[in-house]
Amino acid sequence: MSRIGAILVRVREDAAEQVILRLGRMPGVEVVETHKHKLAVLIEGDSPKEQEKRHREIAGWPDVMEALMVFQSGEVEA
Amino acid sequence: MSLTRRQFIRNTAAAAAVAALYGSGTAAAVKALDGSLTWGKAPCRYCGTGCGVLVGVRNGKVEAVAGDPDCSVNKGLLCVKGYHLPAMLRGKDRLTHPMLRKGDSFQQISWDEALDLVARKYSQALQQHGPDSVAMYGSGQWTIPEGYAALKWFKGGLGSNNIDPNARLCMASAVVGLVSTFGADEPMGCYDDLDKADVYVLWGNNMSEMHPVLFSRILARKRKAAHVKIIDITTRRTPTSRYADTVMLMKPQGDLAIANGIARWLLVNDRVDHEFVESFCTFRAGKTNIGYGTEDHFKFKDKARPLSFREYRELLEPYTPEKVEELSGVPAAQLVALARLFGSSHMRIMSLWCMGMNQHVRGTWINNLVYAIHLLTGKIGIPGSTPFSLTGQPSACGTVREVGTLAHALPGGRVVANAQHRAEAEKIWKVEPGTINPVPGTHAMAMFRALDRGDIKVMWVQVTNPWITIPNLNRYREGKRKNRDSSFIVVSDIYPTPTTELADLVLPSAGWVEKEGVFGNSERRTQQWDKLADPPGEARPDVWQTVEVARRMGYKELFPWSQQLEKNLFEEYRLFTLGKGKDLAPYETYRKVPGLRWPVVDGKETPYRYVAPWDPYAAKGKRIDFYSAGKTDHRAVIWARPWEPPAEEPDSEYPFWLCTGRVLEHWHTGSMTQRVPQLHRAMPGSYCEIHRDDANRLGIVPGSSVKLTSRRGSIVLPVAIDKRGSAAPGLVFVPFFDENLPINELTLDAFCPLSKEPDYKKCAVKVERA
Repeated sequence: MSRIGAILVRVREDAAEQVILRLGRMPGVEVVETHKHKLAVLIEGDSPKEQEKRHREIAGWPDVMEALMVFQSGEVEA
Repeated sequence: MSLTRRQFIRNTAAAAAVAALYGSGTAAAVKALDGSLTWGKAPCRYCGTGCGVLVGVRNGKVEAVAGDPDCSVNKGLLCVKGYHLPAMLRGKDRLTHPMLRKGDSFQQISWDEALDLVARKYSQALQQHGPDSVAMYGSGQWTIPEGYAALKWFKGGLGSNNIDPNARLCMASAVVGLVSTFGADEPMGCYDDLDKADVYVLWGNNMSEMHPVLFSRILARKRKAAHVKIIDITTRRTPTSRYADTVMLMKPQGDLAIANGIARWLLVNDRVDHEFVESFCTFRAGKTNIGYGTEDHFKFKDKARPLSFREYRELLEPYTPEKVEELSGVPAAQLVALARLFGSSHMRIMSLWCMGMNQHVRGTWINNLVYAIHLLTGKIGIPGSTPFSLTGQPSACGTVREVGTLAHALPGGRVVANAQHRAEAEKIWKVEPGTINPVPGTHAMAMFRALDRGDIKVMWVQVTNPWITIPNLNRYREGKRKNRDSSFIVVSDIYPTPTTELADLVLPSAGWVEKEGVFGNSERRTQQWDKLADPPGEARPDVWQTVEVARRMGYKELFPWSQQLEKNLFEEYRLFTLGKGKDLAPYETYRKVPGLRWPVVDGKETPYRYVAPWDPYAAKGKRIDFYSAGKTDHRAVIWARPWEPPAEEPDSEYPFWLCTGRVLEHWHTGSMTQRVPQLHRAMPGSYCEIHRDDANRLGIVPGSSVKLTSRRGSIVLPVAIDKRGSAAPGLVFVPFFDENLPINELTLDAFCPLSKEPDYKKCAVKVERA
């Protein structure tokens, strides 16, 4: 089972590329679209806890101004 | 091709994120809801939060508002006052014409007559009595151009420093606390911290009512993370207490003991971040037994002496948990539990405060002490870990603290007593060297005492209502009455108030979006708005009034602009900020965004000050750089400040503490919010909150009234028992918004000797059945 969510990430204006690269290295994370300094990001986790941990980690990066959860699924089969 | 459930959910999630990315739920979407309105943006008119507001206008009138989803402060939310902003401008008794006192009534006069009269009165007073005989009492609700114009006229024109704002009554302790600790005013953290902390320590701070939108961010964080804690240090249970994990109910003035007790516990238990302290801090002590400023002509200057770590520890030694319990009433176990949180290396802690710590006879000290706890533990300059002073007024930061509309200040953190600072200001203002008076003027309390003595002959009050808000009100109201013939008071406002009632000349002002302006909020965010609606009658912006009077007095060269006055004033003010760690963006930039946090360098705002990589002024490669603290080699000061008793305590004759404050529905003296029908109905009048046991003992029942008496006055109020808040035993709480029940007739005009900010939170009263 896994859990799928989407977050809207607002980054420092000059740091979008750097954050995209960093997101790309994270397991279970996919940047689906970018617009200026905002990123639409999917996060999957094996459990809600894991998904929340990834969300919290991203929100804590210095270049991330905001990481808002805009969609969260129930449990789905992997 | 069929989709699996997983693919479907992934696609749905992606669609939701992309929709959010491109503006579903953005300002554009809100504006599209009613295409018949013309929409603009503005910060809210009321508190220092700085919520972004979308303003819908039709035929020159504000018809609708919505929270601005694009503004990161409030993300589309507003509080109950914000949602009713349009009605604030529509009161039936708006002031619409200049009115001159004739005996006991007022007579309508023209703007030309009014402005000529003000100019003449100032000129006469200056000529006959010198620069100390004139004054201007301004506001943290002044826009930046309004405050800057007034400051420039007074200090660059009249040669008088007698300009001080009502923010002296709410923010001065925060200012002196910051300057004495970090070498510069304004907080280093920002609202982003609200979404990231693990523990929120509220020092006498009823955020649920006073900063509800920011408190909602804390609650959102708490909902997401089970470990998050709210600690409420308070003298009364408030709506905020209901959300707290721990309520530390303290005696008034107990915060000084609590802060010292935490610091001592950290040292005794070796929970100090020694590397941080050794790298970035230094220790100081100042004078003690410093008085309360109640006497006329009170003077005080602190003298700092360096301390070693060992000396600092010795000064903290008396503050054992047991001693703190005795001084503060807070159980020793609660104190230790809070100290442990500060001492745990993995906890991100945000301290928040506003009037509870600032309106305090030792307001500067308690600010110093809270900074000391964060510095000792290194819980500073990390997202989610910061001490953060909240503001009460929409531009107490932007206009008062940054522009410097204080008796001792000049723009951009400069002071009149510094020759280099004066020279820099004189150069920007293109005035003769020596124009600026090097002697600080009278601070707010001294100003009203000078008026009482008859020393001030002319005073102009703008955007504030002092004859409700000044403590020991009877004294200062009588002061004006007895000097009616020898003093001349001008009051600019949008509505009649008890202050306009005492005025000799009343000038009708444009309010909020009826004029162009700029505010600066608690997190160093500068927010611009354009004129969106028409003021009623002949009401005009305060900045226009000030500049017209200055021009009539011969100071045309100070205000040479024939158009775009606000923009030109801002651009000139901006010169004071560049290269000083306070850099503002060009005016046109602010037109496009819901605000930017200074310093703004190369178009980028700075959420976290003193910390690389966010702050371009901070040295790279260092964990933190307190670059404003030049006098202490870029080290923040950890101050040793003792507990000292308040100016007045309950005794056998006046056995209760009186604490005053605000309520959710009304802003300050209610001159705007009392005219909003919904807000007035929700909270029509003031009340006296008393503990149930005290009420029972005195035979006071719900629905009855009580008579409160202090050494300075007496008032009868309806009683409130276990309603919105709950007073601690031995304490009564009364809000100050009701001009018909002015509680400041009872309060004491004692103040912090360093900041000169009065203490509205503690004096002694007796309570009787009415």
